[in-house]
Amino acid sequence: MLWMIVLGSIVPFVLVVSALPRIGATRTAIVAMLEPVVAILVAWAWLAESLDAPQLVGAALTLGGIGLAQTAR
Amino acid sequence: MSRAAVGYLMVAVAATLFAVNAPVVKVIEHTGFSSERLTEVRSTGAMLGLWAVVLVTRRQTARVTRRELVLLAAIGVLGLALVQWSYFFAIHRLPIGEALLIQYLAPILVALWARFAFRERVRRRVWAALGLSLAGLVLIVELWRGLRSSGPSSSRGARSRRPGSKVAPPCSATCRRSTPRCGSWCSG
Repeated sequence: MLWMIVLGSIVPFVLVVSALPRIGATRTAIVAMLEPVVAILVAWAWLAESLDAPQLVGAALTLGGIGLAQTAR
Repeated sequence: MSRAAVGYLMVAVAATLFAVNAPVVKVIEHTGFSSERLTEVRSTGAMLGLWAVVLVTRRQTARVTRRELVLLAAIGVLGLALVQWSYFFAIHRLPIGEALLIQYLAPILVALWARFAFRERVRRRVWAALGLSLAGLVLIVELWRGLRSSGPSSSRGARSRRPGSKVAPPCSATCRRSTPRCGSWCSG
């Protein structure tokens, strides 16, 4: 529970807010897209969750679309 | 290290911590904690912690007007608590990767909100991004197989995907300032 509150909420939130004036909202949002990628890897390693081939292609398309949207702002 | 490099590192670390938090939450949920209880604990704990950060670093920003209080309360309920609850609900029933990728459609929804609610001009690239993301989503949820979940109630799991990404855009579009004060007020 303490992990969820401190390292899963407070610390990352403060880091993101602190990064905003350094690199701007668009770049922050793009780098933040690491989250689903890392989450997929951690879920695969720890919980044995995996995405099959079409889903991995879908993930790449979705992340590409999000990145495209961010660079358009 | 340059200022920008520190910024990139900060976001990368934050993204990693958020990502690692997902399986932690899923494990906690499997011990019997409900999504509602986890949202309550996380929101309350984060509020107290962020309030401590605000009082130590930016005490002068802790004062808010009544109008700001109403706005912050709305952001807290709709933009944070409801998003967290629906996210916890979803990852309890779906693979974490699927839930997160659906949630990350929020920037696309922000663009739609900006276009149709605020009547802002949205660049053509955004519509291409929307098409790509929707195509990706169809593949991720394997729409041709029908909606499915790993939990006991697939229809509830499917509906839970929507509130998180639908609720976030108006709040992120309305709250132009993202500050620790905003986070501490909104987590409460």
